[in-house]
Amino acid sequence: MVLMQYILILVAVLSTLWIVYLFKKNKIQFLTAFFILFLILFFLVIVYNPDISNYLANWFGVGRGADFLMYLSILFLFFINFKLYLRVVKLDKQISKIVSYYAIEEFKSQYKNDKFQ
Amino acid sequence: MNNKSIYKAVYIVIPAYNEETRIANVLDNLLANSFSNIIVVDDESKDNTASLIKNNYPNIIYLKHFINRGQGTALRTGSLLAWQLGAKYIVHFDADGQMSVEDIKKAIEILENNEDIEIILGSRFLTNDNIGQKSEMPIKRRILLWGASIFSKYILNIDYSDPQNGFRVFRANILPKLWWNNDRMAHCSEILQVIKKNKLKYKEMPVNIIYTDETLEKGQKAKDAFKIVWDLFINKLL
Repeated sequence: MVLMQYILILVAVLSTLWIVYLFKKNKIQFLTAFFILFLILFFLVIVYNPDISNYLANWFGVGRGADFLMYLSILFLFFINFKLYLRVVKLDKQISKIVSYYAIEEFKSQYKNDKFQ
Repeated sequence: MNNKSIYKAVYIVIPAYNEETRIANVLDNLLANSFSNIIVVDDESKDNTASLIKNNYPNIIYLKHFINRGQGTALRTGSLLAWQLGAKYIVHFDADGQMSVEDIKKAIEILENNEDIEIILGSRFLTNDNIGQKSEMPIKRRILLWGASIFSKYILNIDYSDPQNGFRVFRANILPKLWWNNDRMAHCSEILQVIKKNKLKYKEMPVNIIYTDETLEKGQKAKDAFKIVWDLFINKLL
């Protein structure tokens, strides 16, 4: 194994510990943790034996293992980006709820309408 | 019960964004027709809409969104307050003067006389059946809305003659069932989906929409259709 492989394996081990820590603290759901750990395992296998990526690339008809990994990374980044987008939309809707609630409460406090007493 | 006493149970919700030049006519017209329960939801207007209403219409309920959240949220805010204030009927009405007060009266009459109908939806495409009249609209707008109708029918599986019409009158007690989540333009289509999903009893009614260059400039554009479709799709994933 070359030095780069040792570094990448260290990164994978630290990432695994981090994900386990987040899961134990209930900051991520089981499915998310499982999915990320599966990706780390896949990453470890490729780092330990890079020829596997060539084998997979041939199987998918991509050609080179490096190209296959790049396409996979793009898909993964797209997925992460979409997840973040959904989270932003969710936050946006929560802001709407706050704005709506505040507008009504402001009216109630200003006008002291009998129906709210 | 005469009309005036019925109108006391009607709450008209008007979302407003930069409507200082148009909203006064709408409010005057509503007040002149005995509709006294009016809720204006100012969606963080940048013009003088706020001062115009506060100074000239002290009896109108003025709600202020401190951040612009879109027409869907403004209608939600106003409808929720109307419901809390004990409304019997809630009307969604535009601030730009495109909609007709006469159509509110016709819709209320239908709801009063038909216990089984829960919501009246305005349509610019229905022809006169003695309860309204078909709207005259520019050809470009007609094509756009026709496209929206076809899309709604075959893609969203909601079959209404005018899915992007914002005029609706409904019984306040159905508000929890009618609840919509989209903040912006997609709320129109979402409300129709909710009506179908919750099997609410509706009736489409021809309404008279008056177009001017100013309102057409502010109204929906063809590119908005993509945004509406995207928002509806994303809403399903949340």
